[in-house]
Amino acid sequence: MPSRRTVLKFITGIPVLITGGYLFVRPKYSSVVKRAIFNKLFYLNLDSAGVEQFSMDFVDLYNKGTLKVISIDVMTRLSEQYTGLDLLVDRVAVFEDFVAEQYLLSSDFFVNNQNEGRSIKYRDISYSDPYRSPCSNAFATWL
Amino acid sequence: MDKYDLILVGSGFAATFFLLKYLGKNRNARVLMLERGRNDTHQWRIDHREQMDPSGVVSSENYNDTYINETPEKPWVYTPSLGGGSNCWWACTPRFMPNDFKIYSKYGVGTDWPISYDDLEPYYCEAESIMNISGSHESTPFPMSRPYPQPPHKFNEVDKLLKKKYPNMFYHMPTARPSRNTNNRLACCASGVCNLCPIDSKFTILNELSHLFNDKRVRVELGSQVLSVIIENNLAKGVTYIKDSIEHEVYGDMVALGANSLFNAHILASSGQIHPLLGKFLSEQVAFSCRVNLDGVNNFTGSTSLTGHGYMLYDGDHRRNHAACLIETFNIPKIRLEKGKYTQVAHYKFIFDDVPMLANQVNLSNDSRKPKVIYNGHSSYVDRAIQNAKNNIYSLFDCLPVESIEYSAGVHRTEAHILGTALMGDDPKGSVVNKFQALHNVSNLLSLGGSSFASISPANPTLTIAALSLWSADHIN
Repeated sequence: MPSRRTVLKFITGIPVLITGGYLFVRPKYSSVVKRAIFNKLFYLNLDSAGVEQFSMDFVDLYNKGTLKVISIDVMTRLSEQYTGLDLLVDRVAVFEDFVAEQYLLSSDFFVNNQNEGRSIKYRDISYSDPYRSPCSNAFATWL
Repeated sequence: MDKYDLILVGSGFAATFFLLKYLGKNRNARVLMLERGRNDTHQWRIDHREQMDPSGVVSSENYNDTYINETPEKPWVYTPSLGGGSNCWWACTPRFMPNDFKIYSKYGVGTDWPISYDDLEPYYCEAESIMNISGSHESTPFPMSRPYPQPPHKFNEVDKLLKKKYPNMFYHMPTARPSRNTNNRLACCASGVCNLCPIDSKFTILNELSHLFNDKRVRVELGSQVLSVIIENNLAKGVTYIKDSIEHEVYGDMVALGANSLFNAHILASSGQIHPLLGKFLSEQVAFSCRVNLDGVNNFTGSTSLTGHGYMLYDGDHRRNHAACLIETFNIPKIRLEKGKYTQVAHYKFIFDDVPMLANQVNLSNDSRKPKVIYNGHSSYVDRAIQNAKNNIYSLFDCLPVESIEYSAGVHRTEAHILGTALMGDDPKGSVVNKFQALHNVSNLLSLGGSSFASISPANPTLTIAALSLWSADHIN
């Protein structure tokens, strides 16, 4: 019969193994962001290199959200595999909406009158952050 | 022994507008201002914006730690630092409607104010001038004896459709986000994060009135929390306050409490005031938001974050049965992620007044520095109004090409407007302060600001708080 210490080691080892395994295979933060953009804006002519760059910039800007991205990734995988997980689907949708909106605001899409026919070029993530680029509202008009 | 002509508690709208008028009338006054927070400058807030809480407050002291909340799901949001709420407000400045001051005699609910709209009107004008308010020069929902100092911001395309249908019920939002440069501030450029404006454009105490804090007649003590007022023979003699963990006493001929409704009531109760209504009727507006998906109209072309005010559900006989509602139109580009529909969406907030309830209150706790807040929720008067608004929303917006309407989940947790707890009135039994916000039984002790509101309104309270302070300082000897 295994000792109490062996049982304890075994029990505590399981979460460590699962976490370690996930961290080993988990996608990069930026690839989760990239996937969200392509999922959400599949109907637009996206510039792959620009999306790649935005995803890396997004990681830099929101670098405190690593845990959130991991949880989004897990939730995305679960909600793709199983039905009835509406709460997870909603959480993923909120994240994807946020990322896609930040991407479009960082691109030249609105500057070019929302022309869906042309290739969308990424400009800089600062355009989506009013503290880095104040007064860059692409829609406002003045008297 | 330090002795002052006036001891002011707090440094937000209520205290600073009182100070402004008081100094104008008392050339040789000596004033002590005691502020519990630090001087978190605009640049400090920008540098620390990652610490912003969900309500948009950036402050070196967390307001949640300053009181005991029996219902934590309902936060009571304020900014504990020099300049108070002006640092994180969105600068929306509607006046109250004339009937808001006589809601009981007009509609049989709530409590009448001991003052009328006409009494306060000159002080509204003065407050609007100090803040350089931008608003319509052509039509307003309330009578005005003086036009707004600045022209209005530009409507967006959806606002224009609402204005066409409701010429006498839909207006440009008056705001302290300037439509033109002022002497100290750049015009608003619609960054959409007004709680912490990137270019310091909206009016704040710090960017327009900080000269008062440097006036040689005024001494400002930061990090100083007032615990109680020293009252002898029905006269305020001074206050006790704590700074750097040391308790102090200071004396003055007049004491004006300009903290928020939680702390004004708490200080008064800690001072031995035992009026049965003190601390009672804590209240706040209630609001929900909705997103209106449109077909064919591109939005967000207005020139500031919020552009319009809808009064379609505000005043009228319905107030006998359910709450008044003010509709705010948002012009912040929250885009729609659907092919070809990116800006074909509008966002609205429906804000309701509530009938203040006795059970919602602020009490003393075991910690002399922390009030205990008990809130049992809003009244059914609001619930009926929310239901009515939702039942009628499609006909309300029938001038818009509506595809669908989506509501926020429930009501917002907070409007960051803490009101009530030391209500004003003419009857000393039925109210804590008189029409000049002085205690009925201690005539040289004032409880300024939202704490004295006899009833609340769906309109944002800040301009009324500022006007009331000007009114009180003009009338108190």
